[in-house]
Amino acid sequence: MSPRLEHRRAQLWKPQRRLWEPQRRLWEPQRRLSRGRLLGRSGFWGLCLLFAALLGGCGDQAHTAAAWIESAAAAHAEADTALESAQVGQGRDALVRFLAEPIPADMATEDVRVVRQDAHWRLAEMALDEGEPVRALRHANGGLAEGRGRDVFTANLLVSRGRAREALNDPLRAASDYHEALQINDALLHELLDGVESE
Amino acid sequence: MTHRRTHLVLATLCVGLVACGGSSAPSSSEDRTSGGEATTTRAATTRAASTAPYAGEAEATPEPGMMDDMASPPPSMEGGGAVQTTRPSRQPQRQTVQVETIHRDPGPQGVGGARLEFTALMGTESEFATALSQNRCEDARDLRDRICDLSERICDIAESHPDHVDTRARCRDGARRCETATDRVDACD
Repeated sequence: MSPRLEHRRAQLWKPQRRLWEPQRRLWEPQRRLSRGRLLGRSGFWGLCLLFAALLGGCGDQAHTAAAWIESAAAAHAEADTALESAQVGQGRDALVRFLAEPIPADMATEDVRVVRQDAHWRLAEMALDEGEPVRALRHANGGLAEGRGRDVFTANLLVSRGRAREALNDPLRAASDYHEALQINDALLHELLDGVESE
Repeated sequence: MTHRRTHLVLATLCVGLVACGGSSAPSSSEDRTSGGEATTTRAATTRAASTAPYAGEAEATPEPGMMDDMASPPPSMEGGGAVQTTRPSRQPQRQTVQVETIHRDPGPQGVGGARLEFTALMGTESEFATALSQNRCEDARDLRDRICDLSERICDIAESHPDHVDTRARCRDGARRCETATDRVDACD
Protein backbone atom coordinates (compact mmCIF):
# COMPACT_ATOMS: atom_id res chain seq x y z
CA MET A 1 0.00 0.00 0.00
CA SER A 2 1.34 3.43 -0.90
CA PRO A 3 2.30 5.86 1.89
CA ARG A 4 -0.51 8.17 0.80
CA LEU A 5 -3.09 5.44 1.13
CA GLU A 6 -1.68 4.42 4.49
CA HIS A 7 -1.88 8.01 5.64
CA ARG A 8 -5.46 8.29 4.45
CA ARG A 9 -6.40 5.04 6.10
CA ALA A 10 -4.98 6.33 9.38
CA GLN A 11 -6.95 9.53 8.90
CA LEU A 12 -10.19 7.62 8.66
CA TRP A 13 -10.25 7.14 12.37
CA LYS A 14 -9.32 10.65 13.25
CA PRO A 15 -12.09 12.68 14.87
CA GLN A 16 -13.63 15.11 12.44
CA ARG A 17 -14.65 17.70 14.91
CA ARG A 18 -15.21 18.13 18.58
CA LEU A 19 -17.84 20.14 20.25
CA TRP A 20 -15.90 22.04 22.83
CA GLU A 21 -17.55 25.41 22.82
CA PRO A 22 -21.03 25.20 21.40
CA GLN A 23 -22.61 28.52 20.63
CA ARG A 24 -25.99 28.93 22.15
CA ARG A 25 -28.55 31.64 22.48
CA LEU A 26 -28.76 31.55 26.23
CA TRP A 27 -30.53 34.79 26.84
CA GLU A 28 -34.08 35.58 26.06
CA PRO A 29 -34.76 38.91 24.41
CA GLN A 30 -35.23 41.61 26.96
CA ARG A 31 -38.67 42.93 27.50
CA ARG A 32 -39.57 46.59 27.42
CA LEU A 33 -42.22 48.31 29.44
CA SER A 34 -43.57 51.74 28.74
CA ARG A 35 -43.17 54.01 31.72
CA GLY A 36 -46.46 55.70 30.89
CA ARG A 37 -48.26 52.51 31.86
CA LEU A 38 -46.76 52.51 35.32
CA LEU A 39 -49.39 54.81 36.76
CA GLY A 40 -51.73 53.92 39.55
CA ARG A 41 -50.67 52.42 42.88
CA SER A 42 -51.74 48.80 42.50
CA GLY A 43 -50.88 48.71 38.82
CA PHE A 44 -47.44 50.09 39.54
CA TRP A 45 -46.55 47.46 42.17
CA GLY A 46 -48.12 44.69 40.17
CA LEU A 47 -46.07 45.56 37.13
CA CYS A 48 -42.93 45.88 39.24
CA LEU A 49 -43.45 42.39 40.64
CA LEU A 50 -44.27 41.00 37.22
CA PHE A 51 -41.18 42.58 35.70
CA ALA A 52 -38.93 41.26 38.45
CA ALA A 53 -40.43 37.80 38.09
CA LEU A 54 -39.89 37.86 34.34
CA LEU A 55 -36.28 38.95 34.65
CA GLY A 56 -35.65 36.56 37.49
CA GLY A 57 -37.05 33.75 35.42
CA CYS A 58 -34.84 34.79 32.53
CA GLY A 59 -31.78 34.64 34.77
CA ASP A 60 -32.67 31.20 36.12
CA GLN A 61 -33.23 29.73 32.66
CA ALA A 62 -30.00 31.15 31.33
CA HIS A 63 -28.13 29.81 34.33
CA THR A 64 -29.50 26.31 33.88
CA ALA A 65 -28.65 26.10 30.18
CA ALA A 66 -25.26 27.70 30.69
CA ALA A 67 -24.48 25.38 33.57
CA TRP A 68 -25.31 22.36 31.43
CA ILE A 69 -23.03 23.53 28.62
CA GLU A 70 -20.29 24.27 31.13
CA SER A 71 -20.76 20.80 32.57
CA ALA A 72 -20.29 19.27 29.11
CA ALA A 73 -17.11 21.25 28.55
CA ALA A 74 -15.84 20.30 32.01
CA ALA A 75 -16.53 16.62 31.37
CA HIS A 76 -14.58 16.71 28.10
CA ALA A 77 -11.74 18.59 29.78
CA GLU A 78 -11.65 16.05 32.60
CA ALA A 79 -11.63 13.22 30.06
CA ASP A 80 -8.71 14.90 28.27
CA THR A 81 -6.73 15.20 31.47
CA ALA A 82 -7.54 11.65 32.51
CA LEU A 83 -6.55 10.21 29.13
CA GLU A 84 -3.27 12.12 29.17
CA SER A 85 -2.42 10.40 32.44
CA ALA A 86 -3.75 7.04 31.18
CA GLN A 87 -6.67 7.16 33.62
CA VAL A 88 -9.18 5.97 31.05
CA GLY A 89 -11.78 4.93 33.62
CA GLN A 90 -11.77 8.35 35.21
CA GLY A 91 -12.26 10.05 31.87
CA ARG A 92 -15.08 7.69 31.00
CA ASP A 93 -16.79 8.33 34.34
CA ALA A 94 -16.73 12.08 33.74
CA LEU A 95 -18.57 11.70 30.44
CA VAL A 96 -21.02 9.13 31.83
CA ARG A 97 -21.81 11.47 34.73
CA PHE A 98 -22.51 14.27 32.30
CA LEU A 99 -24.85 12.10 30.24
CA ALA A 100 -26.78 11.28 33.41
CA GLU A 101 -27.41 14.95 34.15
CA PRO A 102 -30.92 16.28 33.54
CA ILE A 103 -31.38 18.23 30.33
CA PRO A 104 -32.42 21.87 30.74
CA ALA A 105 -35.95 22.45 29.55
CA ASP A 106 -35.04 25.61 27.65
CA MET A 107 -32.35 24.01 25.47
CA ALA A 108 -33.18 23.53 21.81
CA THR A 109 -33.64 19.88 20.83
CA GLU A 110 -30.94 19.98 18.17
CA ASP A 111 -28.48 21.58 20.58
CA VAL A 112 -29.14 18.85 23.13
CA ARG A 113 -28.69 16.22 20.44
CA VAL A 114 -25.26 17.34 19.26
CA VAL A 115 -23.91 17.95 22.78
CA ARG A 116 -24.99 14.51 23.96
CA GLN A 117 -23.95 12.81 20.70
CA ASP A 118 -20.47 14.23 21.07
CA ALA A 119 -20.17 12.69 24.54
CA HIS A 120 -21.54 9.34 23.31
CA TRP A 121 -19.15 9.34 20.38
CA ARG A 122 -16.20 10.00 22.63
CA LEU A 123 -17.20 7.15 24.93
CA ALA A 124 -17.52 4.85 21.91
CA GLU A 125 -14.06 5.80 20.70
CA MET A 126 -12.59 5.22 24.14
CA ALA A 127 -14.21 1.79 24.25
CA LEU A 128 -12.79 0.93 20.82
CA ASP A 129 -9.34 2.03 21.94
CA GLU A 130 -9.72 -0.24 24.96
CA GLY A 131 -10.66 -3.14 22.72
CA GLU A 132 -14.27 -3.31 23.92
CA PRO A 133 -16.42 -3.23 20.79
CA VAL A 134 -19.59 -4.30 22.59
CA ARG A 135 -19.44 -1.25 24.82
CA ALA A 136 -18.46 0.90 21.83
CA LEU A 137 -21.49 -0.37 19.93
CA ARG A 138 -23.72 0.45 22.89
CA HIS A 139 -22.42 4.02 23.11
CA ALA A 140 -22.65 4.53 19.36
CA ASN A 141 -26.22 3.27 19.34
CA GLY A 142 -27.00 5.48 22.34
CA GLY A 143 -25.69 8.50 20.46
CA LEU A 144 -27.64 7.69 17.32
CA ALA A 145 -30.77 7.19 19.41
CA GLU A 146 -30.55 10.89 20.33
CA GLY A 147 -31.53 11.68 16.75
CA ARG A 148 -29.87 12.10 13.40
CA GLY A 149 -28.75 15.06 11.39
CA ARG A 150 -26.68 15.78 8.33
CA ASP A 151 -23.68 16.74 10.41
CA VAL A 152 -20.34 15.46 11.62
CA PHE A 153 -21.80 14.33 14.95
CA THR A 154 -24.01 11.77 13.30
CA ALA A 155 -21.27 10.83 10.81
CA ASN A 156 -18.75 10.29 13.62
CA LEU A 157 -21.14 7.99 15.45
CA LEU A 158 -21.82 5.99 12.28
CA VAL A 159 -18.11 5.46 11.69
CA SER A 160 -17.61 4.41 15.32
CA ARG A 161 -20.49 1.98 15.06
CA GLY A 162 -19.08 0.61 11.82
CA ARG A 163 -15.74 0.03 13.49
CA ALA A 164 -17.43 -1.70 16.40
CA ARG A 165 -19.41 -3.92 14.03
CA GLU A 166 -16.31 -4.82 12.09
CA ALA A 167 -14.61 -5.76 15.36
CA LEU A 168 -17.65 -7.90 16.15
CA ASN A 169 -17.33 -9.69 12.79
CA ASP A 170 -20.28 -7.96 11.17
CA PRO A 171 -18.60 -6.25 8.19
CA LEU A 172 -21.66 -6.00 5.96
CA ARG A 173 -23.57 -3.91 8.46
CA ALA A 174 -20.37 -1.95 9.07
CA ALA A 175 -20.25 -1.17 5.36
CA SER A 176 -23.80 0.12 5.60
CA ASP A 177 -22.78 2.48 8.42
CA TYR A 178 -19.71 3.62 6.53
CA HIS A 179 -21.78 4.33 3.46
CA GLU A 180 -24.25 6.38 5.43
CA ALA A 181 -21.40 8.39 6.97
CA LEU A 182 -19.92 8.84 3.49
CA GLN A 183 -23.19 10.26 2.17
CA ILE A 184 -23.31 12.78 5.03
CA ASN A 185 -19.73 13.87 4.36
CA ASP A 186 -20.49 14.20 0.66
CA ALA A 187 -23.48 16.42 1.42
CA LEU A 188 -21.33 18.54 3.74
CA LEU A 189 -18.69 18.89 1.02
CA HIS A 190 -21.27 20.06 -1.50
CA GLU A 191 -22.62 22.61 0.96
CA LEU A 192 -19.14 23.88 1.65
CA LEU A 193 -18.02 24.17 -1.96
CA ASP A 194 -21.27 25.58 -3.25
CA GLY A 195 -20.89 28.26 -0.58
CA VAL A 196 -17.41 29.07 -1.90
CA GLU A 197 -18.54 29.16 -5.50
CA SER A 198 -21.53 31.34 -4.84
CA GLU A 199 -19.38 34.07 -3.33
CA MET B 1 -42.98 59.33 46.58
CA THR B 2 -42.50 59.75 42.83
CA HIS B 3 -38.74 59.65 43.30
CA ARG B 4 -38.97 56.49 45.37
CA ARG B 5 -41.01 54.86 42.67
CA THR B 6 -38.52 55.88 40.06
CA HIS B 7 -35.66 54.54 42.14
CA LEU B 8 -37.47 51.27 42.68
CA VAL B 9 -38.11 50.87 38.98
CA LEU B 10 -34.49 51.65 38.18
CA ALA B 11 -33.24 49.26 40.85
CA THR B 12 -35.50 46.50 39.52
CA LEU B 13 -34.28 47.14 36.01
CA CYS B 14 -30.66 47.03 37.09
CA VAL B 15 -31.13 43.75 38.97
CA GLY B 16 -32.95 42.26 36.04
CA LEU B 17 -30.39 43.38 33.51
CA VAL B 18 -27.55 42.00 35.61
CA ALA B 19 -29.41 38.70 35.87
CA CYS B 20 -29.85 38.58 32.11
CA GLY B 21 -26.27 39.56 31.43
CA GLY B 22 -27.09 42.75 29.51
CA SER B 23 -27.12 40.84 26.26
CA SER B 24 -28.57 43.69 24.27
CA ALA B 25 -25.94 46.22 25.22
CA PRO B 26 -23.98 47.35 22.20
CA SER B 27 -20.40 46.31 21.92
CA SER B 28 -17.69 48.80 22.60
CA SER B 29 -16.71 48.89 18.95
CA GLU B 30 -20.27 49.62 17.84
CA ASP B 31 -20.56 52.31 20.44
CA ARG B 32 -17.33 53.92 19.43
CA THR B 33 -18.15 53.89 15.74
CA SER B 34 -21.61 55.32 16.02
CA GLY B 35 -20.47 57.89 18.54
CA GLY B 36 -17.70 59.01 16.27
CA GLU B 37 -20.02 59.43 13.34
CA ALA B 38 -22.49 61.37 15.40
CA THR B 39 -19.78 63.65 16.72
CA THR B 40 -18.43 64.34 13.28
CA THR B 41 -21.81 65.15 11.83
CA ARG B 42 -22.74 67.36 14.73
CA ALA B 43 -19.44 69.24 14.58
CA ALA B 44 -19.78 69.83 10.87
CA THR B 45 -23.30 71.13 11.22
CA THR B 46 -22.46 73.43 14.11
CA ARG B 47 -19.45 74.91 12.48
CA ALA B 48 -21.23 75.38 9.18
CA ALA B 49 -24.00 77.22 10.93
CA SER B 50 -21.63 79.57 12.71
CA THR B 51 -19.58 80.29 9.57
CA ALA B 52 -22.42 80.76 7.13
CA PRO B 53 -22.96 84.43 6.26
CA TYR B 54 -26.61 83.94 5.50
CA ALA B 55 -29.15 82.36 7.73
CA GLY B 56 -30.18 78.87 6.69
CA GLU B 57 -27.29 78.24 4.37
CA ALA B 58 -25.65 75.72 6.63
CA GLU B 59 -28.66 73.47 6.37
CA ALA B 60 -28.35 73.21 2.63
CA THR B 61 -27.81 69.76 1.27
CA PRO B 62 -24.47 68.99 -0.38
CA GLU B 63 -24.27 69.85 -4.02
CA PRO B 64 -23.87 67.09 -6.64
CA GLY B 65 -20.27 65.96 -6.70
CA MET B 66 -19.75 66.95 -3.11
CA MET B 67 -18.94 63.42 -1.98
CA ASP B 68 -16.31 63.21 -4.67
CA ASP B 69 -14.72 66.33 -3.30
CA MET B 70 -14.69 64.83 0.16
CA ALA B 71 -13.08 61.63 -1.06
CA SER B 72 -10.28 63.38 -2.94
CA PRO B 73 -9.85 67.01 -1.98
CA PRO B 74 -7.80 69.30 -4.18
CA PRO B 75 -4.26 69.96 -3.00
CA SER B 76 -5.04 73.56 -2.07
CA MET B 77 -7.47 72.40 0.56
CA GLU B 78 -5.28 69.83 2.23
CA GLY B 79 -4.50 70.76 5.78
CA GLY B 80 -7.62 72.83 6.07
CA GLY B 81 -8.19 76.49 6.63
CA ALA B 82 -6.77 77.61 3.31
CA VAL B 83 -10.08 78.45 1.74
CA GLN B 84 -11.27 82.02 2.28
CA THR B 85 -13.92 83.72 0.23
CA THR B 86 -15.16 87.27 0.16
CA ARG B 87 -17.68 86.86 -2.60
CA PRO B 88 -21.20 87.74 -1.57
CA SER B 89 -22.64 85.17 -3.96
CA ARG B 90 -24.74 82.68 -2.03
CA GLN B 91 -24.10 79.54 -4.03
CA PRO B 92 -20.31 79.50 -4.04
CA GLN B 93 -20.23 80.62 -0.43
CA ARG B 94 -22.36 77.67 0.57
CA GLN B 95 -19.95 75.23 -1.03
CA THR B 96 -16.96 76.91 0.51
CA VAL B 97 -18.38 76.70 3.98
CA GLN B 98 -19.09 73.02 3.66
CA VAL B 99 -15.66 72.14 2.31
CA GLU B 100 -13.90 74.32 4.82
CA THR B 101 -15.79 72.76 7.66
CA ILE B 102 -14.94 69.27 6.61
CA HIS B 103 -11.26 69.84 6.04
CA ARG B 104 -10.75 71.89 9.14
CA ASP B 105 -11.96 69.03 11.28
CA PRO B 106 -8.74 67.25 12.20
CA GLY B 107 -8.07 64.18 14.28
CA PRO B 108 -8.81 60.50 13.96
CA GLN B 109 -12.57 61.06 14.02
CA GLY B 110 -12.46 63.49 11.12
CA VAL B 111 -13.05 62.62 7.48
CA GLY B 112 -9.37 61.84 6.88
CA GLY B 113 -9.27 59.56 9.89
CA ALA B 114 -12.52 57.92 8.95
CA ARG B 115 -11.23 57.35 5.43
CA LEU B 116 -8.11 55.68 6.81
CA GLU B 117 -10.21 53.53 9.10
CA PHE B 118 -12.49 52.64 6.20
CA THR B 119 -9.52 51.66 4.04
CA ALA B 120 -8.10 49.56 6.87
CA LEU B 121 -11.45 47.88 7.38
CA MET B 122 -11.77 47.08 3.69
CA GLY B 123 -8.29 45.58 3.75
CA THR B 124 -9.15 43.52 6.81
CA GLU B 125 -12.36 42.32 5.21
CA SER B 126 -10.48 41.29 2.10
CA GLU B 127 -7.90 39.39 4.15
CA PHE B 128 -10.68 37.76 6.14
CA ALA B 129 -12.46 36.64 2.97
CA THR B 130 -9.22 35.17 1.62
CA ALA B 131 -8.52 33.33 4.86
CA LEU B 132 -12.09 32.08 4.97
CA SER B 133 -11.83 30.75 1.43
CA GLN B 134 -8.53 29.02 2.21
CA ASN B 135 -10.00 27.47 5.35
CA ARG B 136 -12.96 26.23 3.35
CA CYS B 137 -10.68 24.58 0.83
CA GLU B 138 -8.79 22.93 3.68
CA ASP B 139 -12.05 21.73 5.18
CA ALA B 140 -13.08 20.49 1.74
CA ARG B 141 -9.85 18.52 1.46
CA ASP B 142 -10.54 16.90 4.84
CA LEU B 143 -14.04 15.95 3.75
CA ARG B 144 -12.78 14.58 0.44
CA ASP B 145 -10.18 12.47 2.27
CA ARG B 146 -12.84 11.12 4.56
CA ILE B 147 -15.18 10.32 1.68
CA CYS B 148 -12.43 8.50 -0.19
CA ASP B 149 -11.24 6.65 2.94
CA LEU B 150 -14.75 5.44 3.69
CA SER B 151 -15.25 4.46 0.05
CA GLU B 152 -12.02 2.49 0.11
CA ARG B 153 -13.02 0.67 3.28
CA ILE B 154 -16.44 -0.21 1.86
CA CYS B 155 -14.82 -1.56 -1.28
CA ASP B 156 -12.41 -3.64 0.82
CA ILE B 157 -15.41 -5.21 2.52
CA ALA B 158 -17.16 -5.68 -0.83
CA GLU B 159 -14.14 -7.51 -2.20
CA SER B 160 -14.30 -9.89 0.74
CA HIS B 161 -18.01 -10.48 0.15
CA PRO B 162 -18.48 -10.56 -3.62
CA ASP B 163 -21.91 -12.16 -3.27
CA HIS B 164 -23.32 -9.24 -1.35
CA VAL B 165 -24.96 -7.05 -3.96
CA ASP B 166 -25.77 -4.13 -1.67
CA THR B 167 -22.20 -3.75 -0.50
CA ARG B 168 -20.94 -3.86 -4.07
CA ALA B 169 -23.40 -1.12 -4.98
CA ARG B 170 -22.25 0.92 -1.99
CA CYS B 171 -18.67 0.47 -3.15
CA ARG B 172 -19.50 1.78 -6.62
CA ASP B 173 -21.44 4.72 -5.20
CA GLY B 174 -18.64 5.57 -2.79
CA ALA B 175 -16.02 5.40 -5.54
CA ARG B 176 -18.08 7.70 -7.73
CA ARG B 177 -18.53 10.20 -4.91
CA CYS B 178 -14.82 10.05 -4.13
CA GLU B 179 -13.98 10.86 -7.74
CA THR B 180 -16.43 13.76 -7.87
CA ALA B 181 -15.18 15.09 -4.56
CA THR B 182 -11.58 14.92 -5.75
CA ASP B 183 -12.42 16.86 -8.92
CA ARG B 184 -14.32 19.52 -7.01
CA VAL B 185 -11.65 19.95 -4.35
CA ASP B 186 -8.94 20.19 -7.00
CA ALA B 187 -10.92 23.03 -8.53
CA CYS B 188 -11.12 24.72 -5.14
CA ASP B 189 -7.29 24.80 -4.82
